[in-house]
Amino acid sequence: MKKQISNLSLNRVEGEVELKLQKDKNGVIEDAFITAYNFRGFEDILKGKDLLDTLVITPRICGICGHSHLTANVNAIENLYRENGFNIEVTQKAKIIRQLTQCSEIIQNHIKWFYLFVMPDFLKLDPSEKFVEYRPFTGKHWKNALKISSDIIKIVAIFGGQWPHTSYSLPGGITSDPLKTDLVEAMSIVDSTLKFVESNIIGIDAESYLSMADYQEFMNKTSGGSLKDFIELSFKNGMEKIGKSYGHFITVSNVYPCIQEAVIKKKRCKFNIKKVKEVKESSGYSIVQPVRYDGLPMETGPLARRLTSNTDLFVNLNSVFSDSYLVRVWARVDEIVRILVNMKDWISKIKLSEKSYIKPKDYKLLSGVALGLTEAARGSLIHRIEVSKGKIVDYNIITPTVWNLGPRCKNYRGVAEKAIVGIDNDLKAQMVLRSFDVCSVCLVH
Amino acid sequence: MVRKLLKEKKREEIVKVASRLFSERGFYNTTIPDIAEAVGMSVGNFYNYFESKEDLAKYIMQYSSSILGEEIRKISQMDVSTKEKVFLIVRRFIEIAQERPELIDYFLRIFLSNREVFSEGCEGFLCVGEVVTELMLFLEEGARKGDFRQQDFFPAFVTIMGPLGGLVFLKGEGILPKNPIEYANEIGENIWRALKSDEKV
Amino acid sequence: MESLKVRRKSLIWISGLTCNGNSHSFLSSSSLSFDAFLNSVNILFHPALTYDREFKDIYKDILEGKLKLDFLIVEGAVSKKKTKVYFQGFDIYEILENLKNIAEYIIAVGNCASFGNFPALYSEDVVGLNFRFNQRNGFFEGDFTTKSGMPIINISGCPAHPEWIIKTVLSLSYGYDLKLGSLQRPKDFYMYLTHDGCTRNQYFEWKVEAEEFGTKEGCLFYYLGCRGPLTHSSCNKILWNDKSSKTRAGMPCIGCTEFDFPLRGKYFETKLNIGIPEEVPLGVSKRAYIMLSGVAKTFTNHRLKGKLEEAD
Repeated sequence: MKKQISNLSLNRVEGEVELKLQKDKNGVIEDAFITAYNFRGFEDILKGKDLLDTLVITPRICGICGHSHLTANVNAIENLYRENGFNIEVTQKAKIIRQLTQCSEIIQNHIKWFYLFVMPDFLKLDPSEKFVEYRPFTGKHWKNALKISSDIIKIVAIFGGQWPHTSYSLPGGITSDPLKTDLVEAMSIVDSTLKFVESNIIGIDAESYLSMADYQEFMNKTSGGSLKDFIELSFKNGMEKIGKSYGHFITVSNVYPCIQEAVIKKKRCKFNIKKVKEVKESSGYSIVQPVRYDGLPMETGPLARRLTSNTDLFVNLNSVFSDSYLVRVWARVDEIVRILVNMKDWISKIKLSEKSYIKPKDYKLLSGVALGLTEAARGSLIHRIEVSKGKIVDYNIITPTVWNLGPRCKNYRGVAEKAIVGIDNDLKAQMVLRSFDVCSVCLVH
Repeated sequence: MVRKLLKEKKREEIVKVASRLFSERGFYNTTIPDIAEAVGMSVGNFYNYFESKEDLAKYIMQYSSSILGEEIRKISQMDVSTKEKVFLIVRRFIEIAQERPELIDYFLRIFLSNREVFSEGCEGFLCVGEVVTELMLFLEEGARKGDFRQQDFFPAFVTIMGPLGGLVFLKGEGILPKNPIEYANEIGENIWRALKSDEKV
Repeated sequence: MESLKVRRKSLIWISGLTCNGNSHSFLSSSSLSFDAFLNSVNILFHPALTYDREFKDIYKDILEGKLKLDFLIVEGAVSKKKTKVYFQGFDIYEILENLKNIAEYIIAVGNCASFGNFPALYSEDVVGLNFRFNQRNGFFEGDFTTKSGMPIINISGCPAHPEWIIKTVLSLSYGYDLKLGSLQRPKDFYMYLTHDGCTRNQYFEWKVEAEEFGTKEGCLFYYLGCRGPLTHSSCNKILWNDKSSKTRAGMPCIGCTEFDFPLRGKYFETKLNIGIPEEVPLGVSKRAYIMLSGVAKTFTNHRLKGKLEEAD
C-alpha cells in the first residue's frame, strides 16, 4: 500500500481549518499540516487608523475572545503613554472590573468548548446510549452548557454593555460606573455558575477540588460529573497517550492569583519578551508566520498556565501523562474552577467610590512602539503597536493560536502538528487538534 | 385672511414706533399710552396686540432676530464661496442697520441694557434664536468644508457680531466719519481673516 | 401556523470572512428563545454545533433535492471571486451559486454578511450578500430575490443581536411576512434608533453632555461620539445578554448596524465644526435641531445637574 494523504476540513472549531495528514503504509500519521483559510487583513486595515479607533477594530478580530484583544490593545496604548513619558493612572476599580469581565469571557469559552467541541467527539468513539446527554441539540448537558455560558457572559454586559464586542475598556479606565446592585448581580451570577460547575462538572466542592494534588484522589472523591466522564472516556480510548508535543510552555502575563507568567523549556524560567520572534520564512502551506521563543516552539493556553503557575495537580499530571490530550483538555476545564473561585473576591474588592476613568493626555501626542500582553482563553496574546502622532503605523498581533497551531519553521514542526504525528486514527487526530481549542479566525486575522 | 394680514401689519407698525421710542427714551421712560399715541391708536386697542410692555419688548427682539436670521439664511444658501458669504453678511447687516436703525438701536440700548425685562421667556438665546441658529449653521458649514478654522462656537460668534455691533454703536454716537457701508469690505476682510483656516487665502 | 405541524423548517448556517461573533451572539441568547428556536427549526448544519453529519453530505442531499432548505444563514463577508473564501472545504462562491435558487430564504447575519464591513476594507472583491456598503453590488446584485420572493434579509450589527436573528427566522417560520427597510433589514428591529430606550435620554433632552467617560450622568452624543440618535437598532429596547446596552454602560454607540460602520472612524469623539455637531439626529434638519438645543440649553433641569444619586 502506498502512502496516503487525508485532507480533513474541521467543524466544531472556530473558523475554517484544514488538516492534511500524511500517513505511512500502516495508516500511522507521519506528518501533519495545518492550514487555515479566510484571511481578512486586519493588520493592514489597522494601518493609518486613529489610535483610539483600534479599540473598536481589534475586538472584531475574534468573536469569542474579543475582550482579550481589547485588553491587549488597551495595555499597549497605556504602555505607549508610559513610553512617551506620560503618567497614566488607572484605578483599582477599573483594573478589577476589566479583569472580571475578561475572565468571564474565558470561562464562557471553556464551558462552550468542552461541551460543544470536545465531548461530542467521544459520542463518535463511543456511540452507546450512556452519554446521550452530551448530544448536541438534544442532550441535557449540551443545553445546560449553553445556558451557563450565556449566564456568565452577562457579567460583561453588566459592566461593558454587551458581549460579544464591547469596547468599554479604554486607556485610563472603563466607561461604566456600576451600581452596588450591579455588583450584587455579578456575584449572583458567579455563585450560580460555580454551583453548576461543582455539581455538573467536577462533582465536588471547588475548595476540595483545588486542594487536590493527585488525579487519583480526584477520581476517588468526585461524586461524578462531566470531568469524570471525560477522564474515563479518555482512558478508555487511550487519550492519555496521544497528543503530546514539545513540552515547552509559555505564559506571558499574570492574572492574580491564578495565573503566573513564565516559560518552561527544560526548566521553568523567567519570561523575556525579547526572545519572542516571528519567523520570517514561508512554510509553503500556510499564510501564517511561525512564532518562536528563543528559537523554540511553545505551547500556550490553560495547560501552559497551570505549569508556569506551578499548580501541583498539573505538575503531577504532566509528570505521569505529559502534555497529552487528557491533560491538555483537563487543564482547560480546570481553569474554569480556578478563575471562578476568585471572581467573588475580586468583586468584593471593587471600591465604587473610586473613579472609573481618569482622562489621560491627548492620544495624538503619542508616538513610538509599545506592547500589550494579556491572557486570552486560548493562551497568551501579544499586541505590538507602532504609532506616529496618534495614528497606527504598524499593528502586529501574535495570537495564542499562532503559538499552538502555527506552521513549522526550518527546525521544528508547529506545536499541534507535532502532537498529531504518530496517531493512527483520523478522528483522534482531529480530537488532538481540538484539544488546543482551535481558533482559525485568530490564526489568520 | 385680510383681517389677519391687517393685524400683522399693525403689529409691525407698533414694533417700528415702539422700538424707536424705547431706544430714544429708554424702556422705563416709555409708557403704553406714549406708544399708542405715537401709533395713533387707543390704549385699549393696543392691548389687542400685546398683553404688556414686557410682552412687546420681547416680541420686538424676536421680530428683529427673525429678520436678521432670514437674511443670513438667504446668504448662507447662496452658491458662492464662504469668503464671499462673510462679506455679504457684513454688508447686509450694515444695510439693515441703515434701513431699520430702530431695530439695531433697540438691541444695543434696550435688550443688552435692561436684562431684567427679558429674564423670563427671553433668557439666553430664546429671543435671538434665529440669528444664533443661522450663524451656527453658517459657521458649521464653513468649518466642515475646511474654509473656517476649528474652534469653539462662542469665540467665532463674537468675532462676527462684535465688529458689527461696534460699528453700529459708533454710528449711533455720531462719531463715525464715513457712511457705515463704506467700511463693509474692510470689516468683512477682518472677520474672514480671523476665522479662516490656515490654508485659505 | 399550519406549517408548524407539518415539519420543522430546515436551516444551514455557513460562514465566510468572519470573527464568528454572530455565532457566539446567537449562542448567548436566552435559553427560552434558544429552546423555542430548536423546537421550530431543524439546524441541519452549523459549524460549531453539528457533530453527527459532515457538511459535504448535507450539502449533497440538498443539491440532490433529498433535503429541503428553508433558511440559508450566512455569517461573514464573501468574495465575488472564486477561490478566496472557503467553508468546510468548499469554495463559498460555489455554495452560494448552487443554493441561491434552492433556499426559500437567505439571511445575512451580521454586518460582514450584510454590507461587507471591515473585511471589505481590505479588498474590492470582498462584499456582503446583496450590498457592498450601501451599493447593491454585493455577491448577488440588484434586486435579487430567493424562492420565497423575498430579497436577502439583512440582520445587520457587529454582531447581530441574538434575538434579532432568532425572531426573524421564527417569524418567517410562523408565516409572518416581515416588512423590510431600504437596506433590507426587518423593520421590527431596525425602525427604532439605538437612542430609543437609552437610560441617558433625559440628558439628551436637556442637552446635558458627558465630557468624560466613566459616569452614569450625561449624554454621550455631544462630545463622546455616540451614534445613538443616528443608528437603526433596538439595542436599548431588546437589551444585550438580557442585561444592558453599550450606551447604558457608558460606551458610545458606534453605529455598528449601519453600512458605513467601518468607513467612519473617530468612534470616541463627536465630530464638531466650530462647536456645532456635524451630524444631527435622524429626521430633523440641522436648523431645527440647533434651534431646539439652544432652547433646551437655556433652561436647567435641576435633577440632571449633579450626581444622579443625589437628585430627588
